[in-house]
Amino acid sequence: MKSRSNSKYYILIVVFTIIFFLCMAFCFTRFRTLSRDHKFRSLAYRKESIELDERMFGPEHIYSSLYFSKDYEEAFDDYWKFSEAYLAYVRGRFSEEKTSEIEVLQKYLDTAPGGEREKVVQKYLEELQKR
Amino acid sequence: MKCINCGADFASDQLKCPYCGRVNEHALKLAKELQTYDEAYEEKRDELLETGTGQVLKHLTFGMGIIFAVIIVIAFGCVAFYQYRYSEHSTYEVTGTRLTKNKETVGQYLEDGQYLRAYLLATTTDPTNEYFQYYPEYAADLSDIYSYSLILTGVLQSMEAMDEGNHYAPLRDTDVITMQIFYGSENDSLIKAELVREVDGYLKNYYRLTDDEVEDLKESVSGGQFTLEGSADIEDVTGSRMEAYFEK
Repeated sequence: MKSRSNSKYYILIVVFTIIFFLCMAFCFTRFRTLSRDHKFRSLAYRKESIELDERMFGPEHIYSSLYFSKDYEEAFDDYWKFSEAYLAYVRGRFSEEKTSEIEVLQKYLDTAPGGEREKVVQKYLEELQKR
Repeated sequence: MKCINCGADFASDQLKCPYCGRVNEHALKLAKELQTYDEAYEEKRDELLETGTGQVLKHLTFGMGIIFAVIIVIAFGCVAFYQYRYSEHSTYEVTGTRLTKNKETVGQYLEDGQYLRAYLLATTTDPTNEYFQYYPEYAADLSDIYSYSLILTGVLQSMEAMDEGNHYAPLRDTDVITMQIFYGSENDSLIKAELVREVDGYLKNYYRLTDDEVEDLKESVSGGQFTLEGSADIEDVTGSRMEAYFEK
């Protein structure tokens, strides 16, 4: 009788331990999923992705990176400014009256911080002025 | 002690006389008593051991249960907090002052001509996605910007293909349906007018449609058949026109 009464404690300890490890495993996997999601949505990661796209495929791809990653925040202002200049160039290529597009490109160049993007916009401007 | 049979001296705890072998009744009685005490002691000891182990196990189970329960509650609490704080919905879902600020920002973007950015901010923060129920005052413009962004993406892909020296990517049936949806919108704001001018420009100057053909496309029913030069194969017609124009 007595040894049977002790066996219930052993069963309880085993059951508690199994439940504990199952809960811990669930929490761990959920936490890992959430932290990965959070990382992919973080500002630093998204900026890194845009920089990588720019380095690998050129500044023209900034527009697609911004649009498809839904990066509308203020932290992406510089990229958006370039993106607007790029879209003005696209519009300018297929419109008969290019004055407003040339103005947008000129405005970008007036305040451009320099670097690869400025060179590309300069090229766009020259191309539109020639057409 | 002295043996009652032979009178020899021997130790009182010996069960028999070592000289004559006579049984020592006194020692035998003591030995039996001792054996009874030993058995009683062993029985008691086992009982005590059993009860003690039970007590220890009881405390151990109870203690483990409490500690595990506390750790589980803390772990689930942390996961729930993390999910609430950082999950996609709670990060972007907006209400109250944040929603008011977002409405102002969307309005500002639209005023500045940053249409795609306004659309992205609205879609990302509106749980109803492209229905824009959080931004009813801008819903019509934002819907048009959405259709326009699909057209623009098609034009950009097409232009990229052209710049890389591949075949031209002419106007496809799916592009026509997107344009029919765009033109079919009943929004009559300035933004819509501006976007229409732009899309007209793509159709005329890039896909090489005439003014009349653009007007026909505008008047066609969404999803309805649209023909060019009497042919339903608009991809072929626009392809040959683009080739003739851009390679001249």
